[in-house]
Amino acid sequence: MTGGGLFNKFGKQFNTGEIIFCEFEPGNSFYLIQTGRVKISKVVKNKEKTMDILGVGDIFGEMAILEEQPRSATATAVEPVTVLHFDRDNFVSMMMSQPQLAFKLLVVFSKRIYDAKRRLMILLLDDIQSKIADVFLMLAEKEPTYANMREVSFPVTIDDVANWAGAGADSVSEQLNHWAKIGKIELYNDRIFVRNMADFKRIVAQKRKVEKR
Amino acid sequence: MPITRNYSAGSIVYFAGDVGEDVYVMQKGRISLISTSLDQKDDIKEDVRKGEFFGVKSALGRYPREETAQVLSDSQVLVFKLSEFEQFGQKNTRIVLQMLKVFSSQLRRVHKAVREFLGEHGAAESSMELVGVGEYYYKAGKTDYALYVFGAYLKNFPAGPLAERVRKLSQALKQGSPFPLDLPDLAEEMQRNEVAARTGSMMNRIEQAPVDDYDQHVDVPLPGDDLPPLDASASTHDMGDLPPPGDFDMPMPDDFGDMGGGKSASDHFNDGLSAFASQHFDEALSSYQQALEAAGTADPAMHEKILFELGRTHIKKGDGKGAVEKFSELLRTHQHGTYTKKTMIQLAEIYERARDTARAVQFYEKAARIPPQDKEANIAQQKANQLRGNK
Repeated sequence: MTGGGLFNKFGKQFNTGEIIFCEFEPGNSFYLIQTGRVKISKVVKNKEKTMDILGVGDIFGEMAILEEQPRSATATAVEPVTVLHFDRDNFVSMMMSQPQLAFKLLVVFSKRIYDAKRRLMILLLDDIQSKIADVFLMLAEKEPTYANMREVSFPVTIDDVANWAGAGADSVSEQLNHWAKIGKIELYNDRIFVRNMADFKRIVAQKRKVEKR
Repeated sequence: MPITRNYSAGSIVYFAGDVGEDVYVMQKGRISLISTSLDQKDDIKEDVRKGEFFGVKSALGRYPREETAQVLSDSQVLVFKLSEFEQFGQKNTRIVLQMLKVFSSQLRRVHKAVREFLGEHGAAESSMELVGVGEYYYKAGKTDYALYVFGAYLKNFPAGPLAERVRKLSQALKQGSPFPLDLPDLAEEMQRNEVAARTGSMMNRIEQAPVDDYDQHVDVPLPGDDLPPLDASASTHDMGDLPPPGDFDMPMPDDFGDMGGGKSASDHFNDGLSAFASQHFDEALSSYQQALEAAGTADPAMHEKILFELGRTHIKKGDGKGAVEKFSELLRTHQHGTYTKKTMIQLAEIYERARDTARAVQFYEKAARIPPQDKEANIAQQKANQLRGNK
C-alpha cells in the first residue's frame, strides 16, 4: 500500500491551532505525523505548559491503544498538520502493511517501559531527599551527553521535580532550598544547576542498599 | 547478517548497567537473566527459553541493560546488531507484533503501578478535570479550545454529573459572554454530584474492562491477542513470552506464526480483521468462515468473537438477513457472552434501519438492561426512548 492509499483511508487533517485531542478526554486512537508539527501541552496550575513539539514521523497518543485511560496531555496542530490515525479497528492491518511503523512503535514502547519503570523506582523510595536526588539522576540518564558529567544544568522547575518525585511542591521546595543554601545546587526560575552529580548518586545508592537488606 | 556466538559456562553475555546495542536469540545451552525487582528488594532470576529473544528492550530504547545475562552451561546464541534486528523486524511483522503485545502488557502493568502509587484519577475525577481544562480555556479567552473540550465532555458523558454545567457554559461561550461568575466551584459541584456520579454512567466507564464505542470495532486489545497463549504476566525480561520458534534458520520466513502447519483459527481470524479493515468484505467473510470451521466450539470465546465479526461483515455488505442470522446464532449459543450487549445493539440498529421500530426498541432495551450500566447501555437506552417517542 502506498502512503497515498493509506492516507485516503486513515488520514486526517488539522488546521493551525486546531485541537487533535484534549487532556483528560477519553480516546482510543493514536497518531503518526505525516506533515506539520504538533504541540503536546498540559494545563498545570492554571497555566498551559508545553511538554513537547513533535514533527514528521513522530507518534503520539499511543497509550490509547493500550488502555482505556483518558489522554494525559493536549495535542494541537501548530501549523497545518496531516496525520494517519489508528485505532483498534485498523491497528493490525496498518501494522501488517507498514512494517517500519510496527518497528517504530516497538522502539517507542521500549523507551516508555524504561521511563515508567524508572519513574516507579523514584516513587518507591521512601524519603524526600533520595526521591529528589533520584529525579536528577533519572533526568541525567535521559540525556547521554550528561553521562559522567560532574556538573549539570537541568532545564526544570521545582514543580517539575515535585511532579516526578510524586511529592508535594512545598516539601520539595524546602529540600531544594536547603541544598541551595549549603551549595549543592543553584536554583533559577527556569533551571536547576547541580554541582556534583556523584553526591546524588551516593545518596540514592546508599538508600537502595539499605532497603535491600 | 546476525552471527552465531558461543559462550562457555560461567561467562556473562552482558551485565546490568552495560550499554549495548545487540539483540540476542537463545539457541542452545542455558542462560539466566538476573534482575532486581522494581522496589530493589529482590533478585529475580529467569532462564531464557530456546528461541527466545533477550536484550531487546534496552537495545531498542538505548538505555542500560536492566539485567545480567549469565551463562549457566555452554551456550550458543544468535547476535543481531541493532540495524540487523531492524531489518529482521521489517520482514517479520508478526514477530514484531508479538513483541508489541508483550511490551504493551508490561507497559500497562508498570503504568498501573505508577497510577496506583500516585492514587490517581478514577473516571469521575478525570471527567471533572476535563471540564476544568475547558474552563481554563474559557477564562483564558481560547474560545475554540473551550468549545472543543465542552463538546468532548458532552460526547463522552452525555448523562454525566457535570453535563448541565457544561451545557450552560457552552451556551454562554457561544453567546460571547464572559465566564459566568455565579457558577459554583467545579470541585464543589462535583462533590455534590458524587452520589449521582456513583450511580451514573461514568464510573463504569473505566472500572470496566475496556468498552469501545459500540460502533467501533470490538475489542482487539492488541494484535496477537489471538495468537497462541502467551504468558505475559509472568515475564520480567524481554520476550519471555514468545513461544519458542525452534531453531532459528536465517532468514526467517514471513509466516512465522504458522509453525504448527496449516493456519489456526486465530490466523484466519486475523486475516479476516485485516481484510475487513481494508474493506475487502468478501475476503473477510471467507476468512472468518474458515476461522469458524477451524475453531469449532472448543474455544467458546473465539467462536463468539468470530460470529460477531461475521455479523458485522454481513452488515458492511448490506446483507441484513445474513447479519441477523449470525447475530441470532451468537445470542443462541452464547448466553451472557462477552458480545451479548454489543450484538443486541447491532441487531437493534439493523431493525432500526429496516424501520422495524418495535423490534429495534426491544433490542435496545434488552441491551440497556445488561449490566454494567456503561456508555453503551446509556446510548442504547437513549435510542430506545427516542424511537418510542417517534412511534
